[in-house]
Amino acid sequence: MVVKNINEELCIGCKICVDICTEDVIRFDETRQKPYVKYPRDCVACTFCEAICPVGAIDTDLTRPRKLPEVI
Amino acid sequence: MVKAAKVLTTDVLVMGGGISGLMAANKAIDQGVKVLIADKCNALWGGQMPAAGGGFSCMGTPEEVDADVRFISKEGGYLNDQELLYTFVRDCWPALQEAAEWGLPFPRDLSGKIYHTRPGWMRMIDTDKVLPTLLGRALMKGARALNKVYLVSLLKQDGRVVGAVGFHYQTGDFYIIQSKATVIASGGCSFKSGALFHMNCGEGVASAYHAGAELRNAEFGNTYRPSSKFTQKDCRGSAVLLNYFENALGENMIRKYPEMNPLLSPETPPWRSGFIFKRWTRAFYKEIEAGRGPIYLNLIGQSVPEAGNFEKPTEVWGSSFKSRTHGYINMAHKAGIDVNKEKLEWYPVPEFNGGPIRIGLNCETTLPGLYAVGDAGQTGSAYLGAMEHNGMGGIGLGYASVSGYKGGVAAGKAVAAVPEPHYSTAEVERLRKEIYAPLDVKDGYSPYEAIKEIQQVVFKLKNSYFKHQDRLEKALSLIEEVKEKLPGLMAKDSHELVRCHEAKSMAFNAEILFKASLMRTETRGTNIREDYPQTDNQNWLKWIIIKKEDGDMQFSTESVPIAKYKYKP
Repeated sequence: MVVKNINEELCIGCKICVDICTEDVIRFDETRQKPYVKYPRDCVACTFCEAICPVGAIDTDLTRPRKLPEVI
Repeated sequence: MVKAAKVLTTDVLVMGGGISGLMAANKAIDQGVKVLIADKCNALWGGQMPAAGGGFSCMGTPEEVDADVRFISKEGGYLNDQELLYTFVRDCWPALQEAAEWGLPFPRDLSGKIYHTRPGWMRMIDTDKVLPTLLGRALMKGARALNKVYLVSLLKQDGRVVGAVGFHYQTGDFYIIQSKATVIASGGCSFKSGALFHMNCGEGVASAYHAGAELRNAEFGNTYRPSSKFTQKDCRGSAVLLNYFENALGENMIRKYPEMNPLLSPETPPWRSGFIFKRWTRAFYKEIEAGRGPIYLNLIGQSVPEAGNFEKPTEVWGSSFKSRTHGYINMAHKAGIDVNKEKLEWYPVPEFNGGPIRIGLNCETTLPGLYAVGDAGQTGSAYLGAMEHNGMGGIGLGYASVSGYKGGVAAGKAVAAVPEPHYSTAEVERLRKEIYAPLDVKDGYSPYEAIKEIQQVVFKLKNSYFKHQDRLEKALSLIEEVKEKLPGLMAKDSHELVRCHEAKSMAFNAEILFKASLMRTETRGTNIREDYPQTDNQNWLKWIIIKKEDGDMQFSTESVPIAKYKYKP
């Protein structure tokens, strides 16, 4: 997983991370009014969510990228 | 599974909210018509623009236009549509100047003139503002936009495209969109080759083909560019790191392959640095094949500024955001790697984004009511001929902007003469069943497995870049095997349903790449045939056209009208 942490104390529930997520990794829990990582295997580490979060609540982890097929 | 259907009607439907789609939406709405934008991901930072460095090329004064046409025709192996190339290059600069007035962040001097420092080339600042600016303007003028609506198939009536159907990524709701003109702006197919190249799976190309539109130049859609293995990101602007690549023996790559350096060749001035990527790919491949791989970027003992300006955002990524999240050194730092202490492996990463939808001077496809802008039709427009679609730094943004502009104007103007669209309920029901079919499959074929199997074939340089009949046939048979399994695709929800349709589209795009490459028995541009190393102007100054006829994929050739063009081999 590369979305390492969504800090719920900082999160203001604006949903921009849900909208910006190109691979639909992040969904919104309507009851708790907080986003959560629903499809971790699809995260490609584009880091848009971390970049756009207005309160810096999202931390991504780049140490373990997905393994892609070899080119050679 | 029966899902609610949402029926929407518009004048112009734009499929894809990247830079070309948003340019098209803006220009269509300027014609006083209704516009609807639908994007599988989002129209705020969609498409490839967020990955772009901010350079725009092929936009300039009339003298520069001619220089660009001459250069690109030669590099494109004279397989260009020179008329289209000339028109697009000529119209790019006025289009960008208009877009600058909407607020696109081009730097200006104190007289108000946009800096245009080198012929036909300039770099934008703060590129992450581009899409929000374009989207904001379109919305303020009354356009509607849908995020996470994945349009899979086009609707046709009496030979015209009258809209599209698809579903919502999150809710799974069925969408029927009726339109008088439809603009495909969903990019080419990158086969999910890495971050920021994972969205565009060639769906627009596949849907245009299935509706009966012609495709052209599919054999030239294959491109690679250097990327570090750990970031899996196409580190744009990486040309500045040129001096620091070495093979496994520690031999400096630039000393071994001086042609990798754009500064040494008058034919490849610095602003055309993207052009060297094919030389990098060849050099990297040669070293690795000879057992001297992998190739490393060795910044040990280098100070950060010397190590290629990766901390200078406007130099490399065009924005402070991108420097932070995509800059090589910053990414390494975040991953706990000190690039001054550890050398890191680099390799050619597949980019594969040139889409082969055939278009004419106004971005019209061969199907009435259907247009293609941006990468979806970049290869098919024959703008670059046989040249790789990322062949010059800034070509992607230049082409996306001007094609979006022209396609938007044309689509917006065309709707006045078009009757109200109607679709056949039976056809929509058939498509609805087809789209949702994987939801009813249990213990079937996983779309993740399908995507991986396609990638394993397509990513290989020896299949897609350095081509040979034996390997192309083998690659094609592997793709055929995947295709046979596609009817068994399974999805447990709408999210996985997206993966299923991406897999289908990727299989289609791989098939046309390999089939067209097999057909072109010569080497030209990015169709490098090891078994046919010569360029054959006698027999192959031709375009390969792909079209669906009576349900079958038909291939034909069409001679390039070279006699009427200015530049000839």
